[in-house]
Amino acid sequence: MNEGLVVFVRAIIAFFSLLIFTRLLGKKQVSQLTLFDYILGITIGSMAASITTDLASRAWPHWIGLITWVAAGFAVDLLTTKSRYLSKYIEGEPVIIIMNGKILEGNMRKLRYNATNLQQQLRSKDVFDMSEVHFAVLEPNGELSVLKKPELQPLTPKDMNIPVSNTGIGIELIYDGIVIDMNLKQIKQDRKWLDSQLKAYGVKDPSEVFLATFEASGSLYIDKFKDKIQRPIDIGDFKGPY
Amino acid sequence: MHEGMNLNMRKFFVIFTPVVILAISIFIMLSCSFFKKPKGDLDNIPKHIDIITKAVTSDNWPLAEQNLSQLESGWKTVIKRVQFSCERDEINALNVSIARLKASIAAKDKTSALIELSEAMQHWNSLGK
Repeated sequence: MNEGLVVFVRAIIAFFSLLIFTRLLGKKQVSQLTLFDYILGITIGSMAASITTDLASRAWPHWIGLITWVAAGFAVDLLTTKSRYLSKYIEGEPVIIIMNGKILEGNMRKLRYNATNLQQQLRSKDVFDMSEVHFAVLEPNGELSVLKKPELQPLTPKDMNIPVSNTGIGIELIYDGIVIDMNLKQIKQDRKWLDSQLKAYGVKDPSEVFLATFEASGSLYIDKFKDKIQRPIDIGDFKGPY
Repeated sequence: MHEGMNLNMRKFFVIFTPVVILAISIFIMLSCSFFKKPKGDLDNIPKHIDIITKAVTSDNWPLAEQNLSQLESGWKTVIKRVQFSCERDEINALNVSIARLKASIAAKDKTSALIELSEAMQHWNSLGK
């Protein structure tokens, strides 16, 4: 038995199975995961590792375990999306910890959440003075959301009655030297227009451009491969091996 | 219409590709019983075990030896097919049984040979279960 070859084949099976299943489970930022989502991820990963290296047993039972956990996770996600009642039961809901500047000790006691935890999380949100806090909400994923008192919130152009230009999402027109025709069509332009715009920036060919985006303001952002920066700043502060 | 067809084709491949990958993975994982089946006479393990059993019972040691070498080469061929889907422990156990059977036949030890043959058959039947 060629164990190396068997591990290789099983690893390929586990890799693509995991890729497909996690794609089905959808996107959630790591910061949005609840404790259960996190444990689900670890368990699924552990089962994929077993499929790869546990030659003492067949891959099939581990794969069935993997798909069962993924299906159950998917079902829970679906149910909690469809039903607010189940969502509250399974995932919990946000709990107010500080309201109008006052700490709600009863809520904290129910969550087994103490003042040390509160202060730690406030400091991670750059709040070192508790009197600055208007509201603080403990989210189901354990994050603390903080609303400072109105007089301490950052100033905005609206507060100063300063008119601002229109903003929006930039659309990529060139990525890694390749023109994205689909996006050109989206902004109702063509290659001739793009070439004329690039000429104005001293670019002869799209292949010279690393990234070009069409901003909401109507301007073009272009970054060429050749940046003419002779010596980039070295931010390292220690003479290492390289 | 051309763009509509391209979109449909793309949608088809988006779904078709992962389904095919999963289907191939499932086939590989469950293929032990399928690949165990003999393709010819040479890799027919149960048949070789049966012939050796009869040879040992009737004290026909030359026939037993001859079929033992055929059993060994047949098993080497089968291992290459079933190694991806069968348990390593069962494969190793059958290897050990065949090794012990070889010694028993060389020593013309009928009792030991029959024990090993029975154990080898059991390991063969357990493969893929």
